[in-house]
Amino acid sequence: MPLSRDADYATYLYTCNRCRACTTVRDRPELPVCPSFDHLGFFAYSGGGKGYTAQGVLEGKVAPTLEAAKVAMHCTLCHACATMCPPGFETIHFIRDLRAWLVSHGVYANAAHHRLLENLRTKGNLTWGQAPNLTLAAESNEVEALLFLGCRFKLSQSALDGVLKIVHRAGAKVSVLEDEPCCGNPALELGDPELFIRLAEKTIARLNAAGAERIITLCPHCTSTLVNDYLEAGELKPEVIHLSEWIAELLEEGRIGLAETGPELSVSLHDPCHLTRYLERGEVLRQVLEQVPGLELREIERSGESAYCCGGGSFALEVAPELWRFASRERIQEARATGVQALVTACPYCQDSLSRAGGKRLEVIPLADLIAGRLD
Amino acid sequence: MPLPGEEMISKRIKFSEAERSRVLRALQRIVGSERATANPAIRYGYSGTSMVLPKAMPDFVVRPRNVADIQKVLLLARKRRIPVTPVASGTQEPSTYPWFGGIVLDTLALNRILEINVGGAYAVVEIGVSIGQLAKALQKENLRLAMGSFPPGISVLGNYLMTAANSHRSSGIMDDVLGLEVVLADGTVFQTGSKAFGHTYPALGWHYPSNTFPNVKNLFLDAGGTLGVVTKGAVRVYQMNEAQTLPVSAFESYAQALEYMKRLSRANLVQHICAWHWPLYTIIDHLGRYGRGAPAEILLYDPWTKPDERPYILVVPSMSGYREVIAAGEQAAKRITEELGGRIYTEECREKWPGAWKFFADHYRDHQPTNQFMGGFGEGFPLMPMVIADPNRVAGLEQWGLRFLRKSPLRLALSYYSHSLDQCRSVFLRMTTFVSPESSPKEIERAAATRQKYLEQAFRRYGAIPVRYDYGHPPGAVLNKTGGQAQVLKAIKRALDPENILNPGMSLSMYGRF
Repeated sequence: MPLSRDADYATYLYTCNRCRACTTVRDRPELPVCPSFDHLGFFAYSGGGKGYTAQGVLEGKVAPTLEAAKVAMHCTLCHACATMCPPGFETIHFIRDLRAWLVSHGVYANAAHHRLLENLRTKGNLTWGQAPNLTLAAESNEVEALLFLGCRFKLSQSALDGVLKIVHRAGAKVSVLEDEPCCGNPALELGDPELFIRLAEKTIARLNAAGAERIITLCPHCTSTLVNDYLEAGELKPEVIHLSEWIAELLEEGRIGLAETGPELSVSLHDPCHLTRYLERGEVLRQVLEQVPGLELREIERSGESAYCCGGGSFALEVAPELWRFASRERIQEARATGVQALVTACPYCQDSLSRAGGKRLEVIPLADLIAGRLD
Repeated sequence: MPLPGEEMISKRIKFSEAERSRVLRALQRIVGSERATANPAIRYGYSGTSMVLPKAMPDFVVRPRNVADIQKVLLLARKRRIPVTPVASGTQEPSTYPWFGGIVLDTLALNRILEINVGGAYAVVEIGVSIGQLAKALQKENLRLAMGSFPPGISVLGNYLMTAANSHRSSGIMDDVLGLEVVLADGTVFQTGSKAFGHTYPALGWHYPSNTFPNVKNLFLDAGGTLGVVTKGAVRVYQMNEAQTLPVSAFESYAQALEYMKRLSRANLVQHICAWHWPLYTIIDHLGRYGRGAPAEILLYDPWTKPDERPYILVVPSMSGYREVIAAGEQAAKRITEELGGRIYTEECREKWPGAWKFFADHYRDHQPTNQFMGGFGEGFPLMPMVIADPNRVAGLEQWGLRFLRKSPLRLALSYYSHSLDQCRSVFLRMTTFVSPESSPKEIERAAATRQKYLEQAFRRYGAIPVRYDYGHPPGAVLNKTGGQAQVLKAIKRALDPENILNPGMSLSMYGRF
């Protein structure tokens, strides 16, 4: 299988000066932003370097081997490289293409990589858990929005406690899909774009048929997939927003209110890559946090579009565990340096990754839980 | 005509699988298993940046942690006669093209700023320290690097070591390196300049580039890693004065701009002065405004037909000092500009070309380089004829050069910039043409040949010394033109690197089995 974007590689490689901007915070070369390059340091581990590796594939110099898979999968797809690249190359395409090329040759980084894709192929989801039996479904023609849970929120009902409390307090009429399908993002990130299209087509059909005008995604990975990647798979009619955007809206419209007094709490914010870089909607998180009485927000040095990935993106926890360990520890350490009591995030992957790495040293709180706990 | 580099690649060292495994294991024993690799998916990225020239994949890539690692890798390479190509950070220069394969030594991990000596006005850095990293650290001490326009990600020393081509320099000083630490092919480590006495008196600093003996440091400038691997060095830094200004002047010919550069630099009025040809400042303006590459209609401007009333050339002097002196300097600049038929253009530049103004201000006034101006043109390096020219003949070269390069099949963004060196005793002239992804291999070959002809003619007719002339050409092709000096350098090379392992694709490595 040839790589799909060879013309783009040529454009890229003709203009890439190897300035290393893709590995560091914009105009701050002393601050790493690419966990993969920060961890192993060879040029091929940077976003720019993967463009060269892809070109090596086109020239027949790089063969589909486990060695190549380790380079291609040693990345959390955090989009920092594409965000920082001065000419603005979508380096994510190179990386996804490399992965697709390897998988098309039957090459996987490890057994977990293979297992995750096999689950998607045979069962249509990652089989981490089934959707909780939610009791908030209204008649479909009455709902104001459809909640799209995503695979991580399917793990347990308790993960949804904060969200459900906000839903009930707002008196919102929302629904969920029965046996919610996968958005397809894992297929795209793990290297099977054809499977992604099949999954996306099915999901688009289910979401369009649900009749809601709006979809509220709980996971930013789903949000960016529905907003950005579905453009290649079909027409998704409902508007798509992330939970944090909905919370901001509920607060602004006065449908939910926050208690005027609450326990003093100092927090830092971990910006989820998909919300902040893929969608460029990360500022909404700050807008929400600024409204919480008694809350002190102390920014981490690398924040916003310059945030260092939690390590949990692109299933690194399973597919590149050493990278996950390195990046998540780095991020926890950086957050702890601010001296805060807790770290807030709005992505279930970040939540899982940082909670595991932080352990008892730093509490990691989902944004929805924080807001739910402060409702008046 | 084969593309540059092909002949060398055909002679590269061949490893059997067993040999490759043995060498890899030996390298991994030195630096650790994660820091030495023979993985093709990693090696390909060190094959050279050029899309125009053939790729030259190294057989191994090694990331040393410290000087001791470098010593051991060199000893191993020497024993087994494996070429070693040292790579500093960021943009790969021709000197780091591993034409003959072997080991690429990626020194990026040696990235500590070891000292900022405020009293002595110098900084000591490891080879992997980047320009942006040092610029930020210096800012806190109210200091700055020499003037320059390189991107923040590249190596300070990697840039400064190329005195012929580096873009950081002060008006009166060609070389801002005070001292170096070097590892020779046999593993010997030594320091140069005043720090050489550190061997006996450890407290001695790096402040003076000489030590009353012949200046060994200079052997390692412009040597492209052929005589030793530079691991650290001391560079001059400058104080941020109370007044900084960039009075831009506009002229309608290069000859006027050149005379202006000469008068200002010789009167010690400027720290740096650079002239920007109109297509180039137009492109830079686009990058500065939009952060993206210029569109084709700009890149394809014919340099002989300006599309509107924009000035032919802008000259940007950087003045810095006490307020009173700078005010007088600005007055002088205005008078000389008008005497030469130009006009002061600072306000118009800000208004009409805000992107270009941002570039000038970032680099020449605030001394904080940004990435905004990187990339987006197309590839230029191998086709970019750069020369250090005779000021008496460079105006003729500018006229002839534009006419000549206009005939090149790849005249994308044909333009130039030019700056004073050593108070205009020499003039740097960098004409650019770029390759686009649509260029055919035949066009690229013709463009490469055009560049070589340009350099040859510039050399013969205009007395302009080519910079990086030997890019991709067999070792010795240029050095032999220097006559007796070639014999001296050969003898030094033979003495320091008898196995010829260090960067054998470069001019100085002109004998041995490669």
